[in-house]
Amino acid sequence: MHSGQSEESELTYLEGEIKCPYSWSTGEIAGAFLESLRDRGTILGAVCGGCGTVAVPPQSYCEACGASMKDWSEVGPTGVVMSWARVTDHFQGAPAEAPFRFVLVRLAGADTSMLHLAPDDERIKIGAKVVPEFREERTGSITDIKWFVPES
Amino acid sequence: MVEEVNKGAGRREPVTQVAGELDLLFHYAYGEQYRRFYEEMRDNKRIMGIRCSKCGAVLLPPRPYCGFCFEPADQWVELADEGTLITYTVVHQPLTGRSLRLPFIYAFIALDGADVQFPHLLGEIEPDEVEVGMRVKAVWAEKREGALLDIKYFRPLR
Repeated sequence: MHSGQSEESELTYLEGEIKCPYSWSTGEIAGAFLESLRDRGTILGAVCGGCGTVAVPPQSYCEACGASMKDWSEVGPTGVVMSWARVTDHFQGAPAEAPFRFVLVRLAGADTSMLHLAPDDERIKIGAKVVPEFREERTGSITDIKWFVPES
Repeated sequence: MVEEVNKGAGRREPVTQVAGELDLLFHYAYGEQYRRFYEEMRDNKRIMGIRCSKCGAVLLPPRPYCGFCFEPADQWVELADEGTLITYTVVHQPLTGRSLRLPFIYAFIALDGADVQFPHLLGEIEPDEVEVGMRVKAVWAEKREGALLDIKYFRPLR
């Protein structure tokens, strides 16, 4: 803990930090999705048993029609940037070092978009074709994909 | 974070959880009373209480209103850095955010001259030597920055 001081050395506040470690249970569907990222470097979508929507990342139930997902479908690796935002300043808990970009990527064969990261590259814009850059060391996390880079 | 949970798991182990950590940074505004209280600790190794204008209770840490009679408390009083142990507990379980070595002793101390108890740590004593009613004295940190741990702990007076 640290204390804040103004120029006159007056104490005006206490600076502290509360750390909250947690484990997030993936469940069956997200677990299989993360396993395929880790073990095969592939991206899986879930196919809806009702309307055929392919959801990436996968969910147990279809957001479009509410039916159960019935099957897996490998998507990508190429995707299209649907939207993006440039991050210029560091913020607490930031997933990458600024500057970087948040992107919504619609992977080939998917009907939904996935939120991920991209380098702060001016080629990252709506309609741009991108591919995932996988990490060498993968742990079964969405960060096994480092980010999406422009397709060369 | 993620590595912690999945470490040791073979690559073929199923993925069932993802670990993470939220770090909540905060600023706690001291206000007028805590500002002076902590400045006196930092600069002068002095523990300051404040006296209620009506019932005369000496409050610690200082606050603008008396908790007994709700009247303004506005007269600063210097207290001894010695007192009497009122009660204590021995902590054996690690707590998130607490880096103290286990076991540690958390104590309520009635400082001489104060009418309320002051929570702090005991040191230089083993848990089985602690006795309610014993006399204790503050051990000041060499490097003080205006926070409760400017007093490292209270040690027994023998």
